[in-house]
Amino acid sequence: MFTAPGPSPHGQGQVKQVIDLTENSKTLLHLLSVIYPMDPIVPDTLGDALSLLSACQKYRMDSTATRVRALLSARTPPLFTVANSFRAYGIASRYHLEEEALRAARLTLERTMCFDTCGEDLRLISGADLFRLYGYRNECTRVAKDCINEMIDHKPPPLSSNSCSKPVNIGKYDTKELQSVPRWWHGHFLSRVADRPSPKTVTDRPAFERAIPLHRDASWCSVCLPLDETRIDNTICAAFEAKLGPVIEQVSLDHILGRTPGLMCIAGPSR
Amino acid sequence: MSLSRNYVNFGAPFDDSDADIVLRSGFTSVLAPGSTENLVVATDFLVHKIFLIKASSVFKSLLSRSLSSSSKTLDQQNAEALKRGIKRDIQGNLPVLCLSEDRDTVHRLLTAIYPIDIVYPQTFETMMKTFAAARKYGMPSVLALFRTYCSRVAPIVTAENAFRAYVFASNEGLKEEALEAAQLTLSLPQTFETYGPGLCNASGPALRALWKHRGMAVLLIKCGVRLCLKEVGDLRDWKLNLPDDKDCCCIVPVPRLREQFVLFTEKIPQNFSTMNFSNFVNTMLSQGGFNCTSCKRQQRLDNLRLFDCLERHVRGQIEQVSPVSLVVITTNDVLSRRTTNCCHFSMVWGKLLIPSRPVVSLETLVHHLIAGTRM
Repeated sequence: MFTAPGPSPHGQGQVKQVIDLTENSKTLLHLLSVIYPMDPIVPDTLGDALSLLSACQKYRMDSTATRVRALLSARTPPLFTVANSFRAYGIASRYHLEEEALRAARLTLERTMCFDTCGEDLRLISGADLFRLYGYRNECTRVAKDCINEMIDHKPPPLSSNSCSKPVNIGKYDTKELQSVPRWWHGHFLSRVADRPSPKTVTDRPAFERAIPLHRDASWCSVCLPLDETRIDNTICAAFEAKLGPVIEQVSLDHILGRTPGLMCIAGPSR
Repeated sequence: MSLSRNYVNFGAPFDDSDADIVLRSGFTSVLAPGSTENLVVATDFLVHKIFLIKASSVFKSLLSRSLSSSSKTLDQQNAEALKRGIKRDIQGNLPVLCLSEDRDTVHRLLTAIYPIDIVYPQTFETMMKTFAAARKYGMPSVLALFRTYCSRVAPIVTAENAFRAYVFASNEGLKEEALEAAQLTLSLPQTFETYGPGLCNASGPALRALWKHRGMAVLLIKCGVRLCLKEVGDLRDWKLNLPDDKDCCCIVPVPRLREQFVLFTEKIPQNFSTMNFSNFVNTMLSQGGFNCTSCKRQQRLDNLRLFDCLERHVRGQIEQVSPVSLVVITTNDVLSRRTTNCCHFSMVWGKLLIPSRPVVSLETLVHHLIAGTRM
């Protein structure tokens, strides 16, 4: 059973069959290194990584793709970063790598989306994909705002210049109260959602800490976050981030705000 | 006419019995004769070679060679035709040139070369198709005729549809139209919200070129504003001359109005649409007139001349931008050029709202742009 057969008499002296592939040698090397019993060669650039995943997808090598994704996730430093998120999104979308496109799209939430931020990366992102990303971000903004508004039962949060109505109970760490009683920080978080709807950016600690003195100076509030400020800041921000995270995670690239039938004709069908 | 053969005759005036060639359009949806049903068919235009030869270098090349019909010449002729997407056929005893353009585009071209009423494009989609066809078949006079009409007589591309026009022109490889549309996009903010679903037809390289164009334009607008401010100085020479001014030199500087003028110009790079005359007059008149300390009479600035000066400098600078050159021109190039290449062209009042032709070569830029578009 385990005896290796000798060379086929039919194969002897014959020229080896050649299959011309469109992938470059680097991609093929990466691909073969993953499927052969050897140490896998993990791509070290974003372009190479996405090219490899694209090849896996093209040749329907699902298990290999899963393995490649695991290898890429374990890689340090990570290939997908906030800084290259627009480029990653553009390349991933071009290769029809939905998982990577969504991953990159989520990272773009930590940046504003305008022509200047996309900059030179624009050449890698088709207009249709940009429009899709724009819709995705709009949807993220919408659900994040809804999430915050629902916490306070859609009551308008008090202005930052208003004094807090009652002290924050830091002793109990009652995050429910921190979230549900309308406070100026609801307005603070809402104002940050529109530009960069990432849970991490919305609840950015330094930004929150900068907002506190502004609130105090404007309102003469003496009851807001006394004493252990850092601890309570973290509590508030962590509570909101924990709420916003799953909500944003549920938004997909096809869950586009305003994807009316008319727009779908223009933007193309969901992928 | 034979529907079974998937083509119909256009009819008058392209059905003359003395026609010596047939131009067949690409497949187009047309209303079936005597019916309300649409058919997707090609359309035959019975025309005269002489008109085609005179109007088009491509048809001249194709049709003149056929007069000397050696087999080699015919091969070359067929190869050239195929290169341009033109197939040959025979209809009765007439040769047929099968074009890829739709029926309306071919019709518009023919109306421009025949002594009949010209049918002009009414939308920028049809405009771009017509321009592309005129360029493809080497019809410069026809192209100029349509361009003049569509940009001067009845402008089709406006600030509101400029982005879509830019995308369309980029996709069609129409460099000059892309540039003109890009210049018109300056009147609206460059945001994804502004462009909306129009983005879907745009290629990445075309968007990048437009972004570069905007950046360069803002730089040059600032440069134009600086040149203008330098020219107008403290505004002492820009007052409106009144009949009795001979007795008074009235050269007192007007810092208040100068400040107002500077304020107006500062908004232009951020929002180009603010640069219009009514806005300018409103801004300047909000400060009222001023009294000459010598003759004590109220004076006013010559706002028309002042605005003309501003427009001359700013538009003169903008004309230096092109989507293609942006790929190869660096900021340093622009900064060094701004001091030496201030465009001093005469601009009549009526021309102020009409985008001007680019003054620099666009070949390289367009090459990049088109190559990128078709990646």
